[in-house]
Amino acid sequence: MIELNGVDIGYLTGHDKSGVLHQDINLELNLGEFVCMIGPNGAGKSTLIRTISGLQKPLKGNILLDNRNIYQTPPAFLARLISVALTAMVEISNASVYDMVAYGRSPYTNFFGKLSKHDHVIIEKSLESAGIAHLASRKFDTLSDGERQKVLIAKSLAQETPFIFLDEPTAFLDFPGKVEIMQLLREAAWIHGKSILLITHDINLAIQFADRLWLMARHKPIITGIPEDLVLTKKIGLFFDKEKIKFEVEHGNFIFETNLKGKIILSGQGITHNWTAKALRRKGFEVIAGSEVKSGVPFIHISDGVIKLIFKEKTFCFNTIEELIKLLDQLQ
Amino acid sequence: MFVLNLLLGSVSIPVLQVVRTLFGMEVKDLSFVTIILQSRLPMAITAMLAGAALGVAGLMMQTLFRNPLAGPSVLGVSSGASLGVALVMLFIAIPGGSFVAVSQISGKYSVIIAAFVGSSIVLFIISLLASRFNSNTIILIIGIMIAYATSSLVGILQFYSLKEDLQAFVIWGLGSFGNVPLSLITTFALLTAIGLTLSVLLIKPLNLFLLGEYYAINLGLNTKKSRYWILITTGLLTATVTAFCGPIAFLGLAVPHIARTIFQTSDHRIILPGSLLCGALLALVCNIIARLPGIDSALPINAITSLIGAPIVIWLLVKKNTMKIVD
Repeated sequence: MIELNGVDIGYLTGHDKSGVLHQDINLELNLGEFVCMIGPNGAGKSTLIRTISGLQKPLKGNILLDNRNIYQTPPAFLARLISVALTAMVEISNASVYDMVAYGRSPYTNFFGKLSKHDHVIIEKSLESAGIAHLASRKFDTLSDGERQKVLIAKSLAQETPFIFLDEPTAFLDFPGKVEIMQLLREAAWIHGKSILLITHDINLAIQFADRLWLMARHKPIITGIPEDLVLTKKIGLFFDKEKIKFEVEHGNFIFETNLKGKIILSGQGITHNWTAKALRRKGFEVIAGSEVKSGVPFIHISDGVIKLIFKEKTFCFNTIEELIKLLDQLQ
Repeated sequence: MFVLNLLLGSVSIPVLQVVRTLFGMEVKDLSFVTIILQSRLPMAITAMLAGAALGVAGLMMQTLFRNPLAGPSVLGVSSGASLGVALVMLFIAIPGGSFVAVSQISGKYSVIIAAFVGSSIVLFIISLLASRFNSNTIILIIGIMIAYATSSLVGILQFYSLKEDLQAFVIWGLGSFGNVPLSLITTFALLTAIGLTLSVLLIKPLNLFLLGEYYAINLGLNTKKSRYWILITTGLLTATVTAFCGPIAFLGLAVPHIARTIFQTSDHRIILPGSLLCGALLALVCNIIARLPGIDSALPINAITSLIGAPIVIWLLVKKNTMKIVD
């Protein structure tokens, strides 16, 4: 278990206090838990990851790993407990993907870094898990950003540490790639009993995958909890809400309000209803749920997949949402 | 290359005579023995050792600072050595008259010590900065500034120094593989060997530094200690070479690039011995060119290293990049 006791994070330059990002952080990370850290840019998420990885000293407080202060633990020992995959670009020429993953074995190799048979087995396995076995002989600097992220994740797996901290490991991946990595890391937590902490901006995925969320924003205390509770208590919404972005509690989505085209009353239920609502919002209507027709406000009713529009005492029927939207545009 | 270095020179000596000399057999002309044993042999050994040392030192600096333009001379290390030597040759010598007049051997020792102290001080400053700032650019710029500052100090010293001393210093500054007498070769070889051995012991830390500081720490490296030893080792190698041969330009910068292109890896288990070999070879090649038969006196080695090294590096880079486009 890793505990943060009254930790201040940030940068100190002389007597300037503006570099302090967060004060008095008290958190814990347990084995077997998959934790996602979310929050806006500049909230100090990367700094927190570095601080609890032993890479950037806290300005105050202690970080204990099994009751041992990580900043008083020799790096060689810590390297077998915590591994990181950071966002900072690694610029290395002439190193193969295999070489990069082999770096994960450094804490276990001898004075000259010679890899044993066992090391090679672990490297192969890590390449396989991260889905990059086919890239093993490629040069690292010829890979795409997404592939590089996978290599760094494989490196962390090869390091075989109980704690793995990743700074935006899915940022450059395509959607299936993101899901694969989230699944892989959750497995590492659930099946192999590791403690995984990652930063992500994919809030939907974080809500669906994480055992626990850490919400972080500038100058606000860090909030933790299981995703569903944080959604229901609207804490996630409060963290991100801006004037034109609202977090929709019902579906755990962000909606982008562009109320330019007036109100529409929408009644009914089902999938067609939900997607019609989405389409109308996208087109800039303010969608109001209701079942009563009001004069001057378009009224849309959906039943059995059929879209019916009542406007100025006329009734129109549509089979597709596109037709509905076309007509609404004409009516305006 | 080593053999060629023994065979070629301003005086042409038949191959057979060279071989006979080396094996201590009777030789036609006694001057051949003198030329080969007193001049060509120590020169070839010096060139080889200096090239190897500078190649490895340059590699370590490029890896540590993660900057392909780093090298022992770029960071002001050689300038520090120059200042040290200038102080001894030009300044301290003044009260006791001309430095040139001081005994040759003890003078050589004081030059060596001065160069080592000078470059160590610069390295110490650089290492302090390196632990304070996390920016290679800052360290590199400060290194270059140190180089400027020391050379202006050297300039002042030159301005007030005796003519003979000044000439000796300028010639020292042009670099030469021919300044190490046979009696001092073992000292030179020993110091270089210590430096090279230390560098071999630093292979794993060097590999980890390639990933950058954060990953290096996370993979269990005590970066402070490793950085310190890398700097000390580089300092030892650079100072040794600079002391015995003068500030040899460019080899330290060029050799790692050549080795990387030839061996196609960044693993120091290969690239470090690779730089050692390439450095030794390139230095021997330069040494031959500097003393090509037909030229009466040897050319200054610094002119040759840059003239040879620069086109090689450019050619390798161009070749590598055109290959990439074809891929």
